[in-house]
Amino acid sequence: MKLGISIFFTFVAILYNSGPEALAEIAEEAPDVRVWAESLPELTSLGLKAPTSVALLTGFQGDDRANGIPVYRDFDPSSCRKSSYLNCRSSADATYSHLLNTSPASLGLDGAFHVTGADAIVYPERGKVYLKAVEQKEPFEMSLAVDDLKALAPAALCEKIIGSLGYDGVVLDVRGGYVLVGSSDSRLKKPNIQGLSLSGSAAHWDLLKQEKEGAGLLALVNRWNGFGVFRVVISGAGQQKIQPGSKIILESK
Amino acid sequence: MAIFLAKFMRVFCIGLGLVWTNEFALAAQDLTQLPTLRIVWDTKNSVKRSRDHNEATWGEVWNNSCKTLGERFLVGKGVYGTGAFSSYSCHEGVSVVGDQEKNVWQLTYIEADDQIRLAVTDPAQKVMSELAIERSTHSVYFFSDSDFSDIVALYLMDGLPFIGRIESNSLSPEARLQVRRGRSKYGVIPVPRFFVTYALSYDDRTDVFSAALKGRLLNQTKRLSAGTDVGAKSQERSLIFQADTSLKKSLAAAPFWFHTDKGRGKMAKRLMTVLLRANERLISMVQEGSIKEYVSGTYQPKNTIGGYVALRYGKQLLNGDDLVEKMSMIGVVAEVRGGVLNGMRLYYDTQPKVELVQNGYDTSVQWSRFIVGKSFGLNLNRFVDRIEVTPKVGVWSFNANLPTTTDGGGNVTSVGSFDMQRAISMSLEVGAEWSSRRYSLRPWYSFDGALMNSGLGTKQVTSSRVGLDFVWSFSTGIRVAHTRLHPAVLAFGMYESISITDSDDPDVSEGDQKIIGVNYSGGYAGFGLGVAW
Repeated sequence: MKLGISIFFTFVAILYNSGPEALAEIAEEAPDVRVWAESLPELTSLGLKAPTSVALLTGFQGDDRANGIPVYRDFDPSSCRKSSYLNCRSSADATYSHLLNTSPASLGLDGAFHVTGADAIVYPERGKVYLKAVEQKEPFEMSLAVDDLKALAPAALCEKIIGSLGYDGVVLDVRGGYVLVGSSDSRLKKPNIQGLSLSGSAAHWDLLKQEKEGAGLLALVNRWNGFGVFRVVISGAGQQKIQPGSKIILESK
Repeated sequence: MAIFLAKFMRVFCIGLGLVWTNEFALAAQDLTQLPTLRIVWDTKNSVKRSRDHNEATWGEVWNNSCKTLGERFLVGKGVYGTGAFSSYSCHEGVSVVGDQEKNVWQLTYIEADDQIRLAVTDPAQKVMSELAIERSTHSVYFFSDSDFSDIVALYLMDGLPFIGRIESNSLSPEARLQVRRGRSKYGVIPVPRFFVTYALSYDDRTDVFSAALKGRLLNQTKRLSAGTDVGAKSQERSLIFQADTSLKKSLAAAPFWFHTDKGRGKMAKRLMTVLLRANERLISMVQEGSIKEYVSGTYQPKNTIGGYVALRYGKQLLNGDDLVEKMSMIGVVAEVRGGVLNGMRLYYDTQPKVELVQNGYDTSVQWSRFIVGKSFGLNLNRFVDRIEVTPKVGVWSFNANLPTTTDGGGNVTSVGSFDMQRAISMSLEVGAEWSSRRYSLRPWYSFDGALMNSGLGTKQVTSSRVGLDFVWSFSTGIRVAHTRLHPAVLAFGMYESISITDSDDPDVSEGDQKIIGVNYSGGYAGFGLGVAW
């Protein structure tokens, strides 16, 4: 309820402040989602405060998170990409990479980041599952069972990762009056979906503890493999401006 | 206008963000360029070289060795198609600073007091792979031995994040790679089950390598040899690796690096076993003085024990004179074959004093002799392996009270005394030998004579003896310093005829008689224990 009221008044404020600007860019033709998505460089290079490349671990040798060789969940990485924007790092690449390294920096959780180049790692420890982003000092606990980490299909795991961060998608790029949002197929397939960009969200990895304040309204134009092109219906200004890294909540109308 | 400025600022900021993030992305560098290898004998940090060569000769030896070793680091030139450098160069003197811009790696060879050390460093001078084994005075010759360099190169390459490289045209139309087999006279070099090919990137901030796998090269030698154009002769010389489906699809994007299925450094233990065996063999060649011939392939094996030292004991076996029957001998014998002391022989034998009262007369004999000789031999390899002549010099001490006359019944009727201390002796021995690395059997004849002139007369002892020596060296042994020592057993038999003469000595006490001329004979047989090399 509070969220709904907050969103409503935010909507009104946006309309009042940025009406002409918001409407000026609607006339452009919507980009093709697949072409747009494939034209982007490696998502980790965009520097977004959101996971774009994930490594899935089932543990560490010797149960040593600091110095043990990471043990990766064995799966075909292409199975991730078809269902969400997240890029799951190849377990085969990562496992063999560790065999080529002798540096202590290749060990432990930090070693998994260095070897895989992932910006988020999911791993089990003491019966719980954690997600740690490369820039975060502390991991946060996911609502995921250890058995599920080992058994769930990678697509389902990616779904869980996206959902555990307090938002449904992240803006990857902006072109004129359109934004490319990274989310998951299951979310984007919901009927009559619209998106709400959250104010100031580009600066945060997760919105679990932040107050969510709407900053813009988005309408889905087309989608493909977890990517969606949204038309900016209403856009805020300043901190409320939709930008790469802005977090999106998706709702059915 | 406002909209234009807004768009411009948006593009500017995004561009700035991309540049900023790309700075971090570029810290992980794709390693695609082939490095070159600089091979340096760091003489500044090595022990002084043996003086049996001058500097120019050592330089030539190093050049030859470096070329043999360096070849095996080139792409495809090592064992099993290993090798990941485009070229190499040989240097002597000080270790050269790495050249980061030109992708130059360095292999540094150092001779320390008891070890030789080889280390491969990257352009940032970080040690990537290293090796240390026992040193000999002529270790640098070892790398001229192709098999030895094969093992050394493979060991060092195995310690790198890549062991080899394939280009898009490295494989045959059937996607096969034919590589040189690692046959070694020192033992089996482990064969990888398959190679893993990959693109490689390196982050110098974290010193971490990341591989993107492209596929495998599977060892298919046996499968493909049967009924194909790869015949038995090819199989003796080479192995065949077949690209799997994944690699075939990726090949257009080559070049790729490759390593063994187990990864970096995992062959080290097995390779070291072979390497130590090779090093030991080559060290023995240095000790034998045959290293040049061995590495050049002209070595003819010497079928002899390298040398031995033993303690021996013999007992008089002949029946006859009661005093002689009590005699025994204890001694030390040493023989050296090869090296600076080649042919040297050393004997120290002593006969403990034996005493016997014969017909009321005190009789006794005691002697000791220390003899050093140098044998000169000729290898015949017909009927006997070798014949030898050994001139010897020594010091002989002899003290005896021996019967000088007996009656018709053989009873002693008079005795004479003889005393000679530390008289110089000369002798000559001739012998023949049958031998191998494990045993030596040698019949011989020796004539010794010791003479002492006291001013009033001359004392003389001569020994004419014939014997048979047998030495057996066990195959097990232990390493001591640079040498492998084996336990050895000796057996010997000897027949000796001793003749003693003395001129008049007015100081002899009344009642005593000097020995003018006495002969006695004895036959010893005995055994000994020692070490051989």
